[in-house]
Amino acid sequence: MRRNHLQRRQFLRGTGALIALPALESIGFRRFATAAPAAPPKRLMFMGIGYGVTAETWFPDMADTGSGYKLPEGLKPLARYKDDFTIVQGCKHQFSRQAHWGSTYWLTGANQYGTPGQSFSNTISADQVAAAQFGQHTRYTSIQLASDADDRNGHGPGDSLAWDQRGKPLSAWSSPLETYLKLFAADDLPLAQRKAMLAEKRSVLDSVMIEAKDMQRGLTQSDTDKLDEYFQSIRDIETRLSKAEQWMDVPKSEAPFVEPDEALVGRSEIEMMYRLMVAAIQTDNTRVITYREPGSRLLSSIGAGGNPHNVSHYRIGGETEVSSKMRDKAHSELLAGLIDLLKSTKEADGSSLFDHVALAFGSNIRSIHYLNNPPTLISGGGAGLKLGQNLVLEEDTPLNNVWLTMLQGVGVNAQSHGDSTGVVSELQA
Amino acid sequence: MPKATATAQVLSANYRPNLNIQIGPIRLIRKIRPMKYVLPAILSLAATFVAAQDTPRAQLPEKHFDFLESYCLDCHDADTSKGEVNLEDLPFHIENIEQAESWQKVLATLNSGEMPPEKKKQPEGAEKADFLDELAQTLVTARKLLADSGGKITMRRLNQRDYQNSIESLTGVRLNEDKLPDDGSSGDFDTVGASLFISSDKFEQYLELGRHTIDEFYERRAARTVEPFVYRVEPEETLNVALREKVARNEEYNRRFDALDAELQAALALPENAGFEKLIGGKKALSNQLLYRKIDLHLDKLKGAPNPADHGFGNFFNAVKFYDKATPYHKHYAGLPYNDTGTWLQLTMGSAKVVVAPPNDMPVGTYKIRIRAGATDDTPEFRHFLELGHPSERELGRGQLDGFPLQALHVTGSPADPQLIETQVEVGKDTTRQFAIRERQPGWGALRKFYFYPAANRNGYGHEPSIWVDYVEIEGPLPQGEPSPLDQIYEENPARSHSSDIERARSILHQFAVKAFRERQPKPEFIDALVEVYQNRLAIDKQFDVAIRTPLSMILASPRFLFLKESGQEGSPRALDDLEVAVRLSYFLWSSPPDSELLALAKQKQLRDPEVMRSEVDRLIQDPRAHEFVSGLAHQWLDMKRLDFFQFNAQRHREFDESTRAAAREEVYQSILHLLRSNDRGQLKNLLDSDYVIVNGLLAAHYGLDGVVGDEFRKVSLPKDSPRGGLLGMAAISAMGSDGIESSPVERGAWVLRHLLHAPPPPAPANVPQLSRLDDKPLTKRGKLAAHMEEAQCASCHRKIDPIGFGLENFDAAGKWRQKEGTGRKAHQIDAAGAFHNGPAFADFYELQDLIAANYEDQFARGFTEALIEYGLGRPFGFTDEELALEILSKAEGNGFQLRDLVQALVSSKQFGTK
Repeated sequence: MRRNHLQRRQFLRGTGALIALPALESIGFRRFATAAPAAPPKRLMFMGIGYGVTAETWFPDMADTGSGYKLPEGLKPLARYKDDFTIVQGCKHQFSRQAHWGSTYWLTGANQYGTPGQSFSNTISADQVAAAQFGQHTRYTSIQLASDADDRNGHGPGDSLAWDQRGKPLSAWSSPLETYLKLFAADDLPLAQRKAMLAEKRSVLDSVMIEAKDMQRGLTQSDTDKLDEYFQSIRDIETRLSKAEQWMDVPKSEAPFVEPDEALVGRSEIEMMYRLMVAAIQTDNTRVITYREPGSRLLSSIGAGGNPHNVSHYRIGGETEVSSKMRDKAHSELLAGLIDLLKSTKEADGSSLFDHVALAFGSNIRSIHYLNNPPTLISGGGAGLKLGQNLVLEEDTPLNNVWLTMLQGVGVNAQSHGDSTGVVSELQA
Repeated sequence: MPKATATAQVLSANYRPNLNIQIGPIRLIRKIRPMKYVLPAILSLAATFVAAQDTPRAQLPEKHFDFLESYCLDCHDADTSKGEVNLEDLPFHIENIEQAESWQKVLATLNSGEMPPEKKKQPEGAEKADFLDELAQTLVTARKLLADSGGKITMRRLNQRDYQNSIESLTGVRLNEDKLPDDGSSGDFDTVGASLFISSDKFEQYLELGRHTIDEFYERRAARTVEPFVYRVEPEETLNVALREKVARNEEYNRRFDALDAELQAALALPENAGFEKLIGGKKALSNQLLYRKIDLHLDKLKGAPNPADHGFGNFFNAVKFYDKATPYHKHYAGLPYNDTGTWLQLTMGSAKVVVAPPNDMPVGTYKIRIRAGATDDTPEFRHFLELGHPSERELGRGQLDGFPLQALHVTGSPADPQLIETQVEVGKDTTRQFAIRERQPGWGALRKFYFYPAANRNGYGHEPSIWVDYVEIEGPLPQGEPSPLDQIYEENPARSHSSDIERARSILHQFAVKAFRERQPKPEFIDALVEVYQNRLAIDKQFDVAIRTPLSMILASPRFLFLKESGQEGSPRALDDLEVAVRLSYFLWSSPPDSELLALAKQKQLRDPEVMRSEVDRLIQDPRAHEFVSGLAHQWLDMKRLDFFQFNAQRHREFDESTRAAAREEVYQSILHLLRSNDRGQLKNLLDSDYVIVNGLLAAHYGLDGVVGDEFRKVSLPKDSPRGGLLGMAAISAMGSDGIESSPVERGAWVLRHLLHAPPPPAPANVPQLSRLDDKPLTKRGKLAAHMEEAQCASCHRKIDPIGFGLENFDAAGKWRQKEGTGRKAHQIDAAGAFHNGPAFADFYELQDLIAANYEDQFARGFTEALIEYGLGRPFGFTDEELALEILSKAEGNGFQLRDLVQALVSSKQFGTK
């Protein structure tokens, strides 16, 4: 890992090796590039935690609804922001059955067996619905963050929380350092050289396309579909290259803080990722960002015993319950830290970043093997949502109704999402 | 130096498999065990086969209509349809996704206890369990049926294993595993094309790796002409000197400290200081550490306080801070015999590892490492192993390595009669150019906490010395083997061999593309485009040998290299051509492209001759590369990823370190490889029970088997009463059925049902209420899990799972045999007795194993065959493949399901040769 980071870094700082396609994406801030927009844009953030929470101490009492509800132990660290978030209860993804997949379907609600003849399928995730509309304005259409691949326990299949239009997994940046470098690493090459490299990249893509097209001949339909993934990859890179070109002469941004230590793990890793998420949207590098958070690393970094799966099966009165609560507390503390940052960061017009963000924190898994009433915490002032309440919806309300409400709230032109049956009017301010 | 006394052949770098099983003396002693409960094989082969030949249906038995009528239809009949749920019209024969969803909801609401509502009549335990059981199984069938590929084999992208091997076979460069693009984890095998995605970031990774490959290829070429060097480390010249200095320093320090302490204690003893103890926090605070840490702040209140400066200390705090409690430990080691010619390795602190950091440039290539060492008989066998790896970057005078050890090496000589251990390591472009050896060990912290201090209390110093090292030597780079295809292309196209550099580039690129594309011709326009890229690069790079790297690496990211293309037409299957068969075969059995012999046969169109094919399969199986097939298949068939889920608790399982984990994994592979390569003793049932194991010295020590010397895996006959032999006795299987601390009867029982009995329990259902009633009770595992039987939702599966799991309780989490579980007051005798659900009883593990071996041989073969088909054809096993499974099994049945026969039968099947 260590060595990889180092290489990647040299690579990004780099000399323009042809292979460093993503590195070439120059960094810039749209607002510097064009006239400052009248109002700050809306942003969406999703944070998925895989295995759920300690049900008894994280959820507010179902009978104690509304704004005056008593904050449960697991949410105590968020007390100072009690008016700034809402806990939504009673939802469910009707098709979700995999008790160890907290992230795969969290933002999609798809049916694993929805495509005949296939043992796995998925559909577009809520963040990507927004990205399709917001992405054109920013350097990155969307940003996916995750922890290193080996910490996938509790999340289920996928490379991040995000799934594209065709239900294929989208990849993520997997460490704070990588994220920092992608966002802020200086590109010291002269413009002419960068242009030449872009041209070369295009010729690389054009060349392999010749082969791909030739290969298409004589394929069966399902193989043609398979090869289409390859075409789609090339097209995605082309889109990125076009963006890179568009952003090439935009002045470089200044990193808002120093490069993170590459050894951050668990709690400090999440904390840094939160800082980077705020930095990414503050600088308008993207308006849609998801983060699939580490599980086992968080536990070990806060000195909680056990692995995420064992802890998810906590036993009341046992050691695993202690660990489970410690994890919840850490999550809430980190979240409070994120809200701190969002509130203290000012937009160009003097308003706070918090006012223009809609965020969701949670998982498809409630706790243990329960998939009904998953933990769902909504915050941010950007979607016109009614915050500060314990909102208990009718049992088994599609979780996609909540996502749809958020999407529409930030101005995404979506009439439905997945199996949604409508917006949650109680959530609307 | 005295001459070498023994030479061990060892595992090569990175735990690349040792591919030569040295067959030891085979003693044909059959384990004799009481066989009281041998069953007639009720589920005979014939019965299984006939059942399978019916048209597959997802059919819930009609008898269950009574259940619905009794408990559901009052509210959910066609008329009432409460909550818009109408179960009356729901067909028992599930034919589409909607029906499956509806039944899935029935299953879910019953599982969660939501239905029937509390005030309504409730089904009694067994009735509900039976219904849940059959419904869950029917749904598994329905899902399988609805997800059936219909016999389609989707074009496959090279998976990590294929890609790594293909690159190596083309260029000689072996890429690091942790750099390879992910294969995803949808639950299908990694050979299933439909589940292997590609995305833009993977494409970029392929480009990057392609460039890395070509750069390293150039380094390898340059290394061919480099003079090899030898560099030797004599640890007595460094580590021993440092240790002696440390001891001298510590002793001088301790003398001063003791003098200071004597004065302090005298002061504390003065009557006028009687209240001082209370002042700094009570009696406890008088322990030396705490006292010294606090006293500086209260010094003015201590009459006659000594002055630390008189003894060379800045203050009391500093005096205690640098006091080395390990001084007796270091002193003991400094005074050991043989210290003039070598070094005793310390387990923690001090001389914990010997670092080999040659001052020479180290070009890429293979290097030999020689270690002359010996071990003492005074320590247990598991302490007679070295670990070879890269030293950690932060040098803390401990045994830390950077990442996992690369190899474990058995030390069999003694300091008086040392042994020369030889092994090889690979150095690639990014490999750290430093190596280190240490005594094998779990994490440093646990070792110190749980073993060092208890040892010090016992013997007065700490860990007993175990391994003595005379020297460590590295030599290389060793001469490279056969030139790679790309090397050959360069030989055929030397500088100035063409009319121009452009033509030379064109020739190299064309030839390399043909090789990379597995003998298929690239489109001329593609080569033109590559040549253009070369020319553009030349303008920047100026040199041919730099400019050509870009287009070469592009070939390694183009689709015809990354995908195994077979043209075809949906709905009208066609026979593969010879070249396609060659590619399918070599990726099946080697995860690598075909070699020249296979290609030659393909070109002569001989591969469709069954005899030729047969002998080719035999040849491929005997080749070292067949390890790729065995490890790739076994890892997925047996769900071995669980082996890496947990770090083992070093306090409970001192011996289950990374070296044991690696060896335990390799034992599974080597056992299967041994069967695969056997002519007449390759029956699958040997995996259920056998009178031998395939182990190396390290695992033999773990199992308590004597006389197995060295690091190669070999066949070892078992004593009559050994619980080993067969998968159930393997440490890997026990460890997978644990969480690194305790054994898990549920995990193990479910694993046995899935993989040995071919009766997989349905996936763990969501929303089943967790049992917590007994959490606080000091019950045994068995006592706690007994509650599974009280709730129908749990019992429907756990009545099958738990008894088998408990039958395996004599194996602890690390796979060691035990009679008792727990320690001290909580210790209790293990009771492994139980009975199969609706089946025979067993008194202990031996009887359980005998019952499985006697009654489930056919089911086991069936499960393996399904895995083989999925792996080999690259599609999830579905009902489409029923007939194929039957065909393969009936062909292999005569000789008792020999592995090789099963593989041969698949390869000779129509499906294997058809797109």
